[in-house]
Amino acid sequence: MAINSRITMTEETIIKFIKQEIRKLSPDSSDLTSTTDIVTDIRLDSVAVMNLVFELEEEFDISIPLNSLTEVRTIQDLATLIEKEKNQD
Amino acid sequence: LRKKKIKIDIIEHMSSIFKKFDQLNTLHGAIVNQAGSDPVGARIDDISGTHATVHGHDCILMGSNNYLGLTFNKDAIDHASKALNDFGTGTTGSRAANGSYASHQSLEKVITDFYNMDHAILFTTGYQANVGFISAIAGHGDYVLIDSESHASIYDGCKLCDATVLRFKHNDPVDLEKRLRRLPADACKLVITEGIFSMRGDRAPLKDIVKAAKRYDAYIMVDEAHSLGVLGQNGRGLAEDEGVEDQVDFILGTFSKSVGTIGGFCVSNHPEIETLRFAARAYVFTASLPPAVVASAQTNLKRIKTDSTLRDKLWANTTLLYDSLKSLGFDVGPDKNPVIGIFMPNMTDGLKAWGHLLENNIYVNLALPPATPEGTCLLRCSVSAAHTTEQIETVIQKFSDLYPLLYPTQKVASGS
Repeated sequence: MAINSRITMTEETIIKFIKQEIRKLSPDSSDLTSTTDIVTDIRLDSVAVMNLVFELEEEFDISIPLNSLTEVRTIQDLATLIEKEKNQD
Repeated sequence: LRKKKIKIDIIEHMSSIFKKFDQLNTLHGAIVNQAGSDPVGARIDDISGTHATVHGHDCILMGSNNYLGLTFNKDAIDHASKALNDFGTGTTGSRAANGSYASHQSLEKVITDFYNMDHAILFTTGYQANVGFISAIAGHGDYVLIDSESHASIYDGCKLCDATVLRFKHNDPVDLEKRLRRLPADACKLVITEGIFSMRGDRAPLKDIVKAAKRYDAYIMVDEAHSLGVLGQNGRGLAEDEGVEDQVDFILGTFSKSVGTIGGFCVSNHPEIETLRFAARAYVFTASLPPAVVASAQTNLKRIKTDSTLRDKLWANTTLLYDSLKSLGFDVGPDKNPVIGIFMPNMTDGLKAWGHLLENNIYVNLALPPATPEGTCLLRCSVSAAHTTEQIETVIQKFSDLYPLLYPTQKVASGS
């Protein structure tokens, strides 16, 4: 794979991008932190979560397995998963 | 003697296991309130093919999935009645434990003949066919790639399997290919799509999906639940219609739509699928189809194979309704199919529209998130070959009356 700036992306940058995408889907969600629960705190339904995942996959050029998503509760969990998938590339 | 009700003791300090339902129950109450009747619990009485009493209204049925109108096929009823008398009301067990009735095996033969394939396995419902097949065939180290708008039974099959499950964007072969490219070349991959999607009523771009899948040596499964009996010169579905039957590894289907009864199946040229009879838990651990249902399915499948006039009538009705709704200005799905999804401006209007149509003796399905694409609310019509032209015209008129209620600022276009 070609070397690009995304490979060296830090977890902090990933979290920032996730928050930005969540705000697009749920404009009312202002106080987002890395421990915010994506489903219970922000109340994203399954369709919104799917669209969020598509955006993240597009941005980071990865495929996130559905099975791994069952473990994800918080923004931090999602960022960790993205990093893991990114490193597997 | 008066019946004494059994009272269950509720211990005060006990956490309620039902608490998780609170939100759903509140939502359901609001839905019933706004629609005027319960759209997800409609009571049907006095059904006669395309007519039924729904919630007390004498309705034209536009939400039945009875595409070929075969639920009242006299031959099927006669054969089912005979099977009922000869073999009883049920099998009372699974084929693995209690054994197969001869009619189970002959129905499997009817399916292989219908598809010109070598192996078919019956399941008790279409839902179980998907769950049983996917959970058994996709194991640890394998990859399953499913369309994001797949039916719940495909999702549930994936939940039960040990493979890594990836979702590609709806009907997007380019996105599928991107995901296939990232996977290990030597891993087993299974791509899953559907003939006609049950909500929008759109078709998979199967040729392109097959092309992408084959480029990466992936197996392909097509769920033809809504396309069996509907698409293809011989009614075999989208794979036949697109001329790719020789490249599709597994076809899954149901008898609960155009075949007019209940049951599911997997058909394939891979002899290895016979192992599903021991490996698919949804086959092994459930009772097999009752004899009367098997007889109905056999009779109706043979009719579908030999009588193309049903399909001709279905498509004439579909064209009339789809084109008219479109020209009236309704936001219908992108492809003309007997499943016609009509997108509503929002959920409140959708509920009102459903209630309005019911009050005016038209029964359609109401589809709400999360069952719908992109969180939309839609009314779903399913057209039948048994509908008369007059019935379809009545439905168009009722939708025409509905339009200004939904879009008061827009001018009503001419219907057909």
